[in-house]
Amino acid sequence: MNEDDLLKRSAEEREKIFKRYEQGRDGAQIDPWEDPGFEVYHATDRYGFIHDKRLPSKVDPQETKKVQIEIERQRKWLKMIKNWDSTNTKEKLASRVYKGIPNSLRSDVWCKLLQIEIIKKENKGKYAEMMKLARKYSTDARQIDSDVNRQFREHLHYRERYSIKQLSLFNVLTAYAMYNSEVGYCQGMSGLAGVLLMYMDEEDAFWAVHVLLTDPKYAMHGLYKEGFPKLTRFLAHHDRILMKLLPKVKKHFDRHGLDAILYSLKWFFVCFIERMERG
Amino acid sequence: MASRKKTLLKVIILGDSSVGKTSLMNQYVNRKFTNQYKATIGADFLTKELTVDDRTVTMQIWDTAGQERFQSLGVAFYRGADCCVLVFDVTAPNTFKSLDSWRDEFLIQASPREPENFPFVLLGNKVDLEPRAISSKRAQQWCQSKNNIPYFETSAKEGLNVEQAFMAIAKNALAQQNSTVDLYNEFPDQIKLTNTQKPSGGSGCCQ
Repeated sequence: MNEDDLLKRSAEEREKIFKRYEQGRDGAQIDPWEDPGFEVYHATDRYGFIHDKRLPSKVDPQETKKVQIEIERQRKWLKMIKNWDSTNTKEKLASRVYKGIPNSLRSDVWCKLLQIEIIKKENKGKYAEMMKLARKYSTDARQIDSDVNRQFREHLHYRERYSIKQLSLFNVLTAYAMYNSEVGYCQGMSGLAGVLLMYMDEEDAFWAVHVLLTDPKYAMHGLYKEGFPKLTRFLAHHDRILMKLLPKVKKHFDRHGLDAILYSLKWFFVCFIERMERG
Repeated sequence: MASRKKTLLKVIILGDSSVGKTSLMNQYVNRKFTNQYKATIGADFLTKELTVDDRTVTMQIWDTAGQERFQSLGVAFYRGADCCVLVFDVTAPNTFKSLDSWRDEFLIQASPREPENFPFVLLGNKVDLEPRAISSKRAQQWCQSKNNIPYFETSAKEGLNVEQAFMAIAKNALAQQNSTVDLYNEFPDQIKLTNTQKPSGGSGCCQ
């Protein structure tokens, strides 16, 4: 097969994949096994994740306490959001973030923390432009398609193949791969964008991904680009800290050939997704 | 073998994204198939105990990320492997084409003692799907060209041939481990690098 044929075939494949998402669930050919059969109303937790088993009918007293604390925190956060630029907010913000941003306010707070409004205003029309480019030239559509098909399928919004959320995730990732061509698309980014999309609309999530990758404060760009330079640095740093603070543990790990990458990759790479509760 | 030590076999599964690496591992270890598998980031492993030629062995199966750029993280995962399983999707020609690159990259990064004799097993997965793009013959020809790699056609979804394939994988891994152990045994005495042994007059070459 020559170069032209290969290009033609990949263009056809891209066309097919994009069309399937645009069409959505109507008229799509979905194998019955592709859509999980969950009892939605009995088993969805408050974050939208669907569980195999029914949630316990009796409320766990600890859970009740947690919810109460969260309501209390919500009150404080609402006050803080109203006075976002005040010195009081600046003083308390960091410690309150560490205690956890209440679920109901994450949309607001994440957008504020990442300063989405500013960057969106400065780049009007950019997202739509990138989506158009992706539609024409994306070389990552196949990989993204196969990852969207596997990302958070136990979540209410991602559960159904070609659902609206799956379309959003596909759009954000293909558009971003065009916008940041050095990174393109790297497996793991679907988890990052997938979480953002649980709390934001498409365009906001697109810019949130961009801020997380390029703002010096987060700089995740180096984690995902070819060769993973920042991941390598983080792992080396982790090893040094472990050696300094827990030398016996480190030596034990070394003796058994337990490289840090085997257990810590997801901490750095996907911000603890699948390694910690979302609460 | 005289050793009563528990035998651990380390097996690495490699191949392009979405060929069914995670599904094959889960079908073999847990005997189930769902559409709920997430894309594998880095690597994960499962273990299974089985009997090979009257010996109980524990197989540690490492499932890896399929996106090409993750190949550069291989070293940590490939170290100490006893067998490498290559997987492609019989309905996706590009996944067959990548096999050479997966094999070469594995040999470079794992750097086994005898690369030409290191055991690989090839699995052509998703035989339950149509249309088929890579024929059995073509896959077998590739295997012959690589020093006769065993080839199995599997369906992780239907559980077809999975048990047989992993039994062959275990046997090859075990044979590999035995051959490396024999290699060690060819040295009758350890060479001590401390100076507790006095040189026995005149026989040394450095004097």
